[in-house]
Amino acid sequence: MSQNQDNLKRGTAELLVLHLLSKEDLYGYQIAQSLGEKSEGVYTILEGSLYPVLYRLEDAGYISEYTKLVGKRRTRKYYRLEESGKAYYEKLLNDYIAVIHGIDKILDRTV
Amino acid sequence: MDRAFEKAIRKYKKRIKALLICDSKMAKSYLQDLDDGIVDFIENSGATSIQEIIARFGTPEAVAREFLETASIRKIKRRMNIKRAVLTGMFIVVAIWAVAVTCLSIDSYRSNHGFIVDSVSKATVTYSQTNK
Repeated sequence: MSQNQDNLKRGTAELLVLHLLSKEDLYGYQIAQSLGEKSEGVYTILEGSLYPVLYRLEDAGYISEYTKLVGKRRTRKYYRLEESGKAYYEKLLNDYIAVIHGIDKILDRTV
Repeated sequence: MDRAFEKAIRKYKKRIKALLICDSKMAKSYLQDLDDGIVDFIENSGATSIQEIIARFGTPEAVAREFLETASIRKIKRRMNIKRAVLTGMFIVVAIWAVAVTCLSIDSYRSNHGFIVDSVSKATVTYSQTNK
């Protein structure tokens, strides 16, 4: 994985995590798995790097967590998108589209 | 899960723990999340080697680095919140003190100088016819 791809991922991780959580509540493994599957292996994030992204979003109040009992004793931490997170997601999405549009124009690419 | 694999996972987590030089509560919570993530990954993927765990979660150094970057931001935010709370508290105390001093000054001024009461009353004039 190139450093360039890592930098691009770093900038878009919050947007993609919020997008996945806008569909349904998910736990860490599911988020990492969905990112890999939906991007057909292009967008893979190290799970160790995913939790800090979740913590940042949680600290800002955009997402919240709750635990569910799995089996007899084990609990699993699920993440849920909050109302403020929906607004932040829309903002990030609009920013992303605007930037991509601008970059395409610079690169003389029409998509 | 075989014992060698279990041992390798323990070693992996121990290495991460050693690298997490920060608030122990935050580190503990992160390690717990990692632990849950590893269990979920093994259950779902059937991973049997530590290399698969590293490929999925990152090397202990990378994992710790990612966390510490976020942890330092959290710490700064927490410090800023404490600072803001202290400043707000100080402002409230000063405001209460200022109001109290003003009230006392007014009260003391009134005690020393008395009250000036201006009142306008309707004058009534009566004419008497005594000099007739």
